[in-house]
Amino acid sequence: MNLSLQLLSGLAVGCIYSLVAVGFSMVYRAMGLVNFAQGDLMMVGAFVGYSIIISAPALPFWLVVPFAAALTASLGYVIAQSALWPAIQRGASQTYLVLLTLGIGIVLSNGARLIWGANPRVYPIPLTHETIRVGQYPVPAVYPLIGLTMVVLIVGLHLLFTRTWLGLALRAAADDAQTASIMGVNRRFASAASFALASGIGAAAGVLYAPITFVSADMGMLGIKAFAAAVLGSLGSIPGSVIGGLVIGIGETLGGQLVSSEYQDSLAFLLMIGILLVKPTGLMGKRG
Amino acid sequence: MVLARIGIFATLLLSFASSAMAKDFPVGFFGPLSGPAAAYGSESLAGAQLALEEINAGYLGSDKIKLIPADDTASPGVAAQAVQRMIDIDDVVAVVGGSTSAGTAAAIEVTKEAKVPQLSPLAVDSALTLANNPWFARIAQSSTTWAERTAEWLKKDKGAKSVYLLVRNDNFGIPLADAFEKKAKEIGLELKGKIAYEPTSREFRPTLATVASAKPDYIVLWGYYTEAGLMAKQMAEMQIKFPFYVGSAIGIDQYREIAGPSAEGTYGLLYYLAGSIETDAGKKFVQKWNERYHRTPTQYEGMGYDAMYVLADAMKRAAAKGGISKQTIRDEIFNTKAFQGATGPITILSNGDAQRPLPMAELVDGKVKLDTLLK
Repeated sequence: MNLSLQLLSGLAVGCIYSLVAVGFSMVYRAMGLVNFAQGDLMMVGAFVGYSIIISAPALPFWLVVPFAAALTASLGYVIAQSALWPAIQRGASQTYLVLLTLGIGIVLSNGARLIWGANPRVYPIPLTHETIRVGQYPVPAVYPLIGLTMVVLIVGLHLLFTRTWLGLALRAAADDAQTASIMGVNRRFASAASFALASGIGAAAGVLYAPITFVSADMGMLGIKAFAAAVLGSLGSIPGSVIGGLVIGIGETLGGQLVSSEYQDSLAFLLMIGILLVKPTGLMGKRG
Repeated sequence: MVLARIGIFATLLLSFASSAMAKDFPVGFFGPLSGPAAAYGSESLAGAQLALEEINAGYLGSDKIKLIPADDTASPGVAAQAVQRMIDIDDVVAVVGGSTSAGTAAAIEVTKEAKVPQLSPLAVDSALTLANNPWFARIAQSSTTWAERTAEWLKKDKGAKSVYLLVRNDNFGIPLADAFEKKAKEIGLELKGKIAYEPTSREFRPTLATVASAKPDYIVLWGYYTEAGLMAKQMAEMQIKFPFYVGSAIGIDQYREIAGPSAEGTYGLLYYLAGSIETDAGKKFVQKWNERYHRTPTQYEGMGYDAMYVLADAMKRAAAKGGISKQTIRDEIFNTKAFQGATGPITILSNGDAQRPLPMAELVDGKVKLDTLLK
């Protein structure tokens, strides 16, 4: 089988890892915590997308993505305001915060099982089973949409953080909370907005990933690979997360083909360990 | 007048005595009712509940069975705890379950220790009956039987010369693959390769590319329906066209939904296929299920139904021989010979394994069609 086909597949899955990894990095920068519920927020987004498709079958798929992202972002905002911020304000330790996000993930996973049932759900749209030709290779029709969304989201994030007051305020609060606070930036709002944005991006990844596979309550497991991608690229760096996701996506697909498909899943972590041994701060990390 | 009063009094006394002798026998049921393997547990429970309605309408005379269900979430630890609770608190006389091999293996240790008979509707791992545990039996064939029948069918019925094995790397997939490999060698079916994939995998393209380059006559999968669905889908996307055997996944709606049009033409061996059993019991069950639910029963519903009936039949025979107890139920379960179940005649062997027909099926026009009923 041609390696180009595997490369395209690795790129598509890598884009999904990248989007979830961006969420990890955004929350880490804004709130100083590793959000292990990020994968589960992606799963909730995928389920919300499923419900939108069922309730509005005529809605074009590309519109399902922003709707599901907006609804999941609202959920993220509520979680940040009601569960995370009070803990941060009381000076909770990192260990406590990590456990808190793990707990939130478990609640989300079980909640999804309660709402959408235990059986896997498949998006009932033609895109789920359609293929298109890229050059001479047949690829799932959702691949170009994944690539396009990734580019739009990254450019959108860049514009948000460099050209808008909200984005600058979020960056200021993430870089120096005290000074930003003096300058009128509401730290609590900034943290919750970043968490909501990360949740929305995760949801977009979930909706785009669903047609490749299916949606299930254990889908959040993908978050572990996305976390590896974020660490590989330097946790907290958005460009690093994008690169990390692509490296892991392509690495595991090509590695699975060239090295051993039996250990395909382990390759992502081997890759992370290997790169961190050479560059402990991650691909985009700065020394010192 | 006095005689009439005596007559009424005697009738009342007799009816009181008979109702006082009628007993409710608590029976436990466990299996995954939630989680990724929920279909196995919830569907076999639905079948068991329909059987129970019929059984409690007079199959055991005035005695009744009271079912105590528990969700093991496909976790061995939870399964063991649930069964221990049924035994300690509910004092169950028997346990029907589990629906996964791992959950069943954990529960066996508890029922064996407490000397409570356990009858599994779905667990297939051959290791479960290797120890000749006198308290455990099942109505599903062992993984060895599944794998061997499949290898023979491929070689003899389909004329296959070579296969490539894809195996879920756990105690469901590995025993099936090992038994298949052994039988394949024995009958001269060439094994072009074998890949054991991680149970959490969702991306199989590199694996499938390796398989395709070996050009086998058939691809044989020993895994869960979600993986089978994704593999069929990804094979179609990669334009890999080899006959694909997916085991019992073929009978599961979610497999067909995940795989989409690429599920067409896939093969699988089922626990049971509605309509494949031409006996009165087989026809009556399908008719009743259709009347109740307006659809045909699934393989797991059929197995749950029969497991409950095999247990009730053992209890009926135990009662006729002198009394129902954990020991007599156990003895009679192991005495089950050619019981006319909805899923075919069932015989429990001395090690707790079962003899039953196995339907090999193909997916044609979106419908599961019988290919051969393997006896």
